[in-house]
Amino acid sequence: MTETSYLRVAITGGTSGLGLALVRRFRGAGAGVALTARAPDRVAAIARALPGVCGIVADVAEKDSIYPTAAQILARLGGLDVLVNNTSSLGPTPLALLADTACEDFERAIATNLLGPFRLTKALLGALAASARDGRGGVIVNISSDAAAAPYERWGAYGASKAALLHLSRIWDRELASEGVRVLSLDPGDMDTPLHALAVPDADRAALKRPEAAAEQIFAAIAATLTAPAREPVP
Amino acid sequence: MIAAARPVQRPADAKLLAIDAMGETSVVARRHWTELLRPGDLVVANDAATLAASLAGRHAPTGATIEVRLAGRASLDWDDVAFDAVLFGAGDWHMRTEDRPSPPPVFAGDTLALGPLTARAAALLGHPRFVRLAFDGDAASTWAGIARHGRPVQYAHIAEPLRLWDVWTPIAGPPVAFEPPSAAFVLDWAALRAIRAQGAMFATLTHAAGLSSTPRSMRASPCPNPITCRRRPPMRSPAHGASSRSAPR
Repeated sequence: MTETSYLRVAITGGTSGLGLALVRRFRGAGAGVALTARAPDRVAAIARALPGVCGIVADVAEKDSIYPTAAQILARLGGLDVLVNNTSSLGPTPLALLADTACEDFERAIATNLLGPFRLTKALLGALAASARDGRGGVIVNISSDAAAAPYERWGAYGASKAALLHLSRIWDRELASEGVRVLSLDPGDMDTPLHALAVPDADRAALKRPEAAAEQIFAAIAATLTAPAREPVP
Repeated sequence: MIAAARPVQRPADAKLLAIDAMGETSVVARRHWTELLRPGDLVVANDAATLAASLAGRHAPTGATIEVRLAGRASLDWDDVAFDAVLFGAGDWHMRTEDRPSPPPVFAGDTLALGPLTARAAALLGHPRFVRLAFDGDAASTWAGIARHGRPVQYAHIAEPLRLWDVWTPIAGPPVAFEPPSAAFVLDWAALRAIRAQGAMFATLTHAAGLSSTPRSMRASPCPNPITCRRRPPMRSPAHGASSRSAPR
């Protein structure tokens, strides 16, 4: 089993669904964990319930919140080995045809699902690269979706932003090979989460994957990445 | 010399004075600085991120406007949120630091209201403007308050206010510097690649750079300049990164 208790992990959108399951999984493995979320009461409740977890109130879609968030993460953890960009926005809810999607809803999806992960990763990249140099880690996970690849009707804002995030992940993973930093794009599948309920209110919840199961798979993928052989840097 | 006047001091045509081992000088384009490196050279940079060390507020006993500039800590521990700080009176960064008016007299025990933060002057540190601050609340709320309410230390020669992203170097890690380690601004990610392409190595240390300037009246006082360094120890064997990750590169 891979040793993970030394890890310092930041997870956005960490108070519900997959994000909360990841917080619990990493904390259960002994890792230092910082989570971000928008609702102060939820952040405080999770931080109280999970001793050792640092809760940070932040909206990653807001440019002005990125560096204050990065500062709090790094102040608390002293550095960073793993960043999970998990926060997601569906865009309009109920889901809408693209032509019926308000520009503001589309912008919100782009800001949350693409610009937020880009900005936060950029602010934390120095710490992640230092982690890689020190032989600790340096793994970025961007939570993706099958909507990033398949053109589902009414998922336009979400799908377009996730497709862009997928491509950003691929490019950044190549560019950061020389730093020893990995950028993974992982699709957790259809989960029984508040986001899914918002998108598909009449879904059969029993048929959906438990977020804890998806968190276990992502945890395993990160652990495997940490022990994978060295990559050849991209010239 | 061209005085800096913009928040982001990384012009494409910046120049660099190079001095070789024999003392000979030459001027090169700064963007080509990595070409001066030779195989086996080691580039060491400060990876400290910069705190939002300037906190605006009021001196509660008098109601007077003050600015607090955080200037030092005894340790880098997260839960050590007792800061040494320099106090300023009315005005803002548009006035030179040396010329800023004094704050009202501050006594040990005085309360300072700094946006969402409340701090007490726990002790005077040898000068009426130099104090140790103890923040009310826990470490998490103190760091959150500093990050959200604070601003980077500003400079009179720059008209626009600096934001955190202006003072955050590309390689920034732990937020422990009170002003930016500005030499690290030249280290973008293309430069790190170029260092390795030259056969040189790269390593970082963390140095909590202190305030570069204090009020004129403090010149003969204890220097609020913390010097705190640490080097991160490797935690495990090299894995998914380059095979030589345990060594600087």
